Amino acid sequence: MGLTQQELANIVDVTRQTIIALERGKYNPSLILAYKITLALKKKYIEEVFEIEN
Amino acid sequence: MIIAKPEWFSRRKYGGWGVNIKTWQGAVYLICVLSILVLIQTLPFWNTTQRLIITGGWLTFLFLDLVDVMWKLKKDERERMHEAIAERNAAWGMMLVLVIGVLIELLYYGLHHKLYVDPFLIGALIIGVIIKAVRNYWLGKHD
Repeated sequence: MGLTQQELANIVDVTRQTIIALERGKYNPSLILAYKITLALKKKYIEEVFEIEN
Repeated sequence: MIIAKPEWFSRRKYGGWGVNIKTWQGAVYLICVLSILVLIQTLPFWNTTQRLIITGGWLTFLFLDLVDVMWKLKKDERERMHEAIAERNAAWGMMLVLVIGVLIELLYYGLHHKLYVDPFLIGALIIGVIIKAVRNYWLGKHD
């Protein structure tokens, strides 16, 4: 997508630290945040962006 | 918003409660409010009662301004969760100390054949219980 962490953070209204935590798999987002990020990344399904780790 | 703007401050994480200065505007705000406080204390044409009332009024205003800033400080869901966990743990720590205080007082006065506990200790515990119960009830109804 070519978005920086800060740009994505601004679009979905969270801090850059939250984006970093998400990327590192250290924070599980709420459904609404996962949905916002999916939309911001122009994806159709949440599963295209996030996956459940066992 | 009264005077201070939330973007001038950040949430204090490691030094108790309140806010930290984030921008130069926040620093200017702090210098101004403290200068006014010093001015109130030093101006000669007020008697002690008037000075106390004016100081109390100014401090009340500052407290409300700070509460307003803290209320409006932007937090995302991760920061809110972190804050909630930290506040809960702080509340547990304080409750533990209060309960130990109550037990020590009961023991101490019991040894002197009296029954006394500092009302502030009991009051803090009762208020905590009431706030928790009310919040749980409200959350159960609305969330």
